[in-house]
Amino acid sequence: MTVAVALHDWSSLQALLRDQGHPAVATGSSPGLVWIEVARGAWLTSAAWLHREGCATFIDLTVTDLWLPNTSPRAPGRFVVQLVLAAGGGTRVALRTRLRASELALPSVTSLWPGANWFEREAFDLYGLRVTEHPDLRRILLYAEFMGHPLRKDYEKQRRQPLVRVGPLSKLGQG
Amino acid sequence: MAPIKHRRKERAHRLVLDLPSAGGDSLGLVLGPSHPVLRGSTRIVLEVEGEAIRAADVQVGLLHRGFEKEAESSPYDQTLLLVERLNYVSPLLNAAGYALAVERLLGVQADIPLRALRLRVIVGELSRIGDHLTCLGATALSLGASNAFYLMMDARARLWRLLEAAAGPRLGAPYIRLGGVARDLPDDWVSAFRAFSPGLRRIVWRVDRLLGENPMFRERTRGICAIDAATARGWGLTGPVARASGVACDVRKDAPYFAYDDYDFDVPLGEHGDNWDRYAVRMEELRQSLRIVEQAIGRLSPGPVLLDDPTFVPPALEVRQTQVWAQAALQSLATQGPFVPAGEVYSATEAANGELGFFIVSKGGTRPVKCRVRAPSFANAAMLSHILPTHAVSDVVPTYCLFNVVGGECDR
Amino acid sequence: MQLEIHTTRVDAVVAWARKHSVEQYPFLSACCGVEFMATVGHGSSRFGFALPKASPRQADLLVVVGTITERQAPALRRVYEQMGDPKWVIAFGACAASGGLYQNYAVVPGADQVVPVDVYVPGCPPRPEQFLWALKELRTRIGGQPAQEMPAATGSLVRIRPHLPQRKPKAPPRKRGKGKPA
Repeated sequence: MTVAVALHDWSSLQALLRDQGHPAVATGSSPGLVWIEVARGAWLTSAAWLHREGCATFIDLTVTDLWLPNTSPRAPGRFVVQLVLAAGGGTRVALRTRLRASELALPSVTSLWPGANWFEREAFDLYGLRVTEHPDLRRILLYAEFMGHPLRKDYEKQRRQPLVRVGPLSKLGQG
Repeated sequence: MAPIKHRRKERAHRLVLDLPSAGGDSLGLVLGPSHPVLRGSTRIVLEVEGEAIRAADVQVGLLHRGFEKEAESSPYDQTLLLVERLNYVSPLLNAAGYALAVERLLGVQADIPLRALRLRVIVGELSRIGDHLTCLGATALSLGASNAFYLMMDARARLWRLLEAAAGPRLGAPYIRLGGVARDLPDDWVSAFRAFSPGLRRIVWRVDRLLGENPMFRERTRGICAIDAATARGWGLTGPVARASGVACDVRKDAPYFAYDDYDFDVPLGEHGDNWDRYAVRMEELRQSLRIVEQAIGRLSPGPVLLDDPTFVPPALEVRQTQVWAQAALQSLATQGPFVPAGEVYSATEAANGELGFFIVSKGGTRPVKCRVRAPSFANAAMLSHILPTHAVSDVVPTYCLFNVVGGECDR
Repeated sequence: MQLEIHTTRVDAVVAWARKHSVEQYPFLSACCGVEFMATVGHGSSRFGFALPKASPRQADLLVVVGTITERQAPALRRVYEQMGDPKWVIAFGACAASGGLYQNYAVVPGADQVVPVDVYVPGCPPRPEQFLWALKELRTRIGGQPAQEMPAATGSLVRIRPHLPQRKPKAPPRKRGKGKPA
């Protein structure tokens, strides 16, 4: 279990990031997950560090929108991007970074884990995460004509954007 | 973990087909979405040159039903119904995974009655068998082996009758609940299972002979779309597809839940990661799942099947009829849903296609802030567009079938 | 052998013939498809409904099985337009009937927003036997209608936005909506 050791000994990551000017690293754990939170600029360096430390299996990449209705949508740390990796056995390691809505962009990790490709496209599609240096950034689950990003909290749940509709609605006249 | 013994004769392992070319001009070919095998949920755009594929673009999302948005506005217990419609070929496995995630978030996963865990394993492994039978049956059909297909569909029909007897409705049964399962097995269920399992073993054996010893089937699957272990890891493959590539990953072994460490079972591993290995791994998993079910039935001990905790489990009818607090508890659960304290959880289970992860964030309330599904089919489908080029058009459909991309789960 | 002569209307004969030879095309998209496949064992050919066709062009009955998402709706509409008249539609399952559990941005609230539906089958998913009920219901409907009023294609297509704008054809777009203006 080299990774479990390495995660307890994350000072090497901290030293690495201090050299680059992004010293803030927080770690912790929640059920099923050991997480490391870094600054936005340290995203790719930390991902590469985790890759070197044995997290070769890509599991998941997702965004969480923590916006609450009575607060400003421009609040810092509104979005949490989380990359989940498998580190030998059942250990799951998450790399996190907090972003505000105006700077919702991150470099792609497809060079480290090619499987991140579709997950980054999904984050772009549903949350509007602009992934830089992505090989093929386009919508994946929704259609190209769709406007907005539906999993953001400020997207109304029932706001449909239909492509086709029948003229006189139905024989029963309902709809 | 025991690797499968392949009945593989010494033969050159073909990786790239030498295909006739149509004179250099490539042609665009669109499969789906309304296609007999793609089941209306995937579109595959190919660029072909003769029979050979030059580029492939697998387009998913045609069945994106907004599960995560829906879950963010539903009470935790009602989301169980939505979860079952993710992988609709094995709904109970999804529900068990979600229930476990919420129980971990509530911190009650150690209190779930043992009998409920055994029942979850029984119906879950039977669902896995049903899923694998569907996947292998569709593969056999796509390669023209319709008798194997009918054999497996017959076995699946009987299996679903068993599941229906245990769980209620055929599909989307609200059987798995937060805190356990809805009801105990009917009295004659175990005898019905004992009558069924030799038949299933016989069908697996016959299919193994019909397909595995059929030179045509072997030629059509060996060396097709081979994936090595490092590639499988980097692409996030899990489940039978990853194990066919020799990646020893199985959440049931790595991080046991539902007391899976009580059972004696093997995780089959492939060597080459080609279509043949994917077929062989799933065939072996059918037998292993049957083994687990038999052991779980043998270890069933009497006891309750649902946790007695009125904060998230509705009190039993007898209690509700006599106690006022129980009526109030039911009313609160029915109108608002269970209250979940602030916290977050990532909970992984081994679904039929691989690691099914739920990442749930709660800020304290009856609705989650986020309910993320890490769908195994999504990662598998991503691999598909990478692996198809250089192979023949006729290999697309069997490969797609063996990756078992289930629309509801992949697109959520 | 006695020679018998019956008199009837042409409509009635045509309707009788039609209701005994309906060719179906299932548009499988989601969970209901799993249940729909189980209907094969229930012998719908007893009612004159042949096994599913592989192409909509040879079919009279479109069975919409499962959730129709906004993204999928153009494909469903295209399939419907490829079928020859007269044609009928069964919406199988709660999602096809009304959107079902999914009342959100991604799902069409009922297949009748995209194609005209004749018979709605409730259930999430419906049991296979309910499909037989729908077939009987449809037979009654076909048999009870005069032939002239039969074509079900009452809806003309309203294209709210051009589909796939990145590949605009150079030729002018084909006119849609072959159904008679109602």
